[in-house]
Amino acid sequence: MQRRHRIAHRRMWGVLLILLPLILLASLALRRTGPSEAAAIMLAPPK
Amino acid sequence: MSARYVPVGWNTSKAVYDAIALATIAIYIFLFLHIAPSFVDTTQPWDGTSLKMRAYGSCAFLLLSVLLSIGPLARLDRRFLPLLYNRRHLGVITCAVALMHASAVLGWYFSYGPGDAYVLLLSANTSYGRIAGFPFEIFGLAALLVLIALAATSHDFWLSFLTPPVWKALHMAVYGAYFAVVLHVALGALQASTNPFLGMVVLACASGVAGLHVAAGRRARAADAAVARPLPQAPWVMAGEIADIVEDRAITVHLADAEPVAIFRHAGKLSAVSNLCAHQNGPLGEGKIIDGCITCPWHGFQYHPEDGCAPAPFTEKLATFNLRVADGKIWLDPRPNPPGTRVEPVAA
Repeated sequence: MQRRHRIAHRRMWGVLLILLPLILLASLALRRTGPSEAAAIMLAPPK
Repeated sequence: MSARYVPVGWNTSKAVYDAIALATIAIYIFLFLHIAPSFVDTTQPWDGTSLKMRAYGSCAFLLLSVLLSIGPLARLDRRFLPLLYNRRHLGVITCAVALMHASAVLGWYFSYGPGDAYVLLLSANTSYGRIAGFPFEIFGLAALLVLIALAATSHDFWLSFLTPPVWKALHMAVYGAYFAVVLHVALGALQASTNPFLGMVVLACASGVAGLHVAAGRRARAADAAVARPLPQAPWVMAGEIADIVEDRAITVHLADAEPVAIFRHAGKLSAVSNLCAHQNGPLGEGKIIDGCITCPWHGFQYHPEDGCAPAPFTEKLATFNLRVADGKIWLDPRPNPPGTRVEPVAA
């Protein structure tokens, strides 16, 4: 690769190494908790 | 490679490479379609279209991650070079799998209602102001358009027409496509799934790809920083010791304000050419001499060491450089000769 491509490449991936995991972790943290993930509501005591 | 236009210059290596790639993809999709449903939350089962959508989508994401790992892996360890050889075919296959995913998605939108699936795809959800429920399809569409553009220009015709630096810059758009794919997955599949395995796989892939590129970039920066020492007899620079060069191999000399130079040793003589292959700017100094020709480690393009010309009927030419040898040391004139200029090899 040409030197300018190598430099652009290096800078771009340096940013993405931080950004990609941050986006994924943030998206997991901000995930909506649906009814299936909510604690089960006991309607009647177990027999 | 080919001296005239052919759709694909098939050879045994390419056929085996493509056969392995296609077989692996077929096995993955088959296993996904038959095994994944048993891991799905029984309160939210997947229908047939949804299952295909996820099988093709996950396959395209994994393929793109593998595709983007091949370059840095080959830079870090030469044993991965064979994977680089036919990487463009793998890119086209990835685009085809992504199109299959898009087709399944459109099928899902078609079954959504009587409206136009393309309109529904972009208008069914317009919640651009919030993260939860964000219309993630837009990122997938952007990535798909980039992949189609890159697949369409992946042929050597476009490489020759656009010139290697422009073609390489254009194809670096695949990094933007990968970023868009990660956003597409993060705001789409990850939001809908309660299975932690999916999140871990996506995180491992994205971090792994970025980590490999950063590691390979650090190695390249270290090499760029180790520039050849200028001599009092400027502009000549000290390129290294003769003993450093193994027969039919090269050393790469990094210059302060120019591209590196590869110095090859063949038949006991030294020749210097530009380190950038005329095909895709591959690192010639990491290649070797085969049948008397410098051979690029990436795609096998060849050049005569003494004049930098590709053997007939090929027409590619490299810049050559003048060398001197004294007391076991190699001196290099960093001013390039016009491409194709013959320089008599220097006795080592």
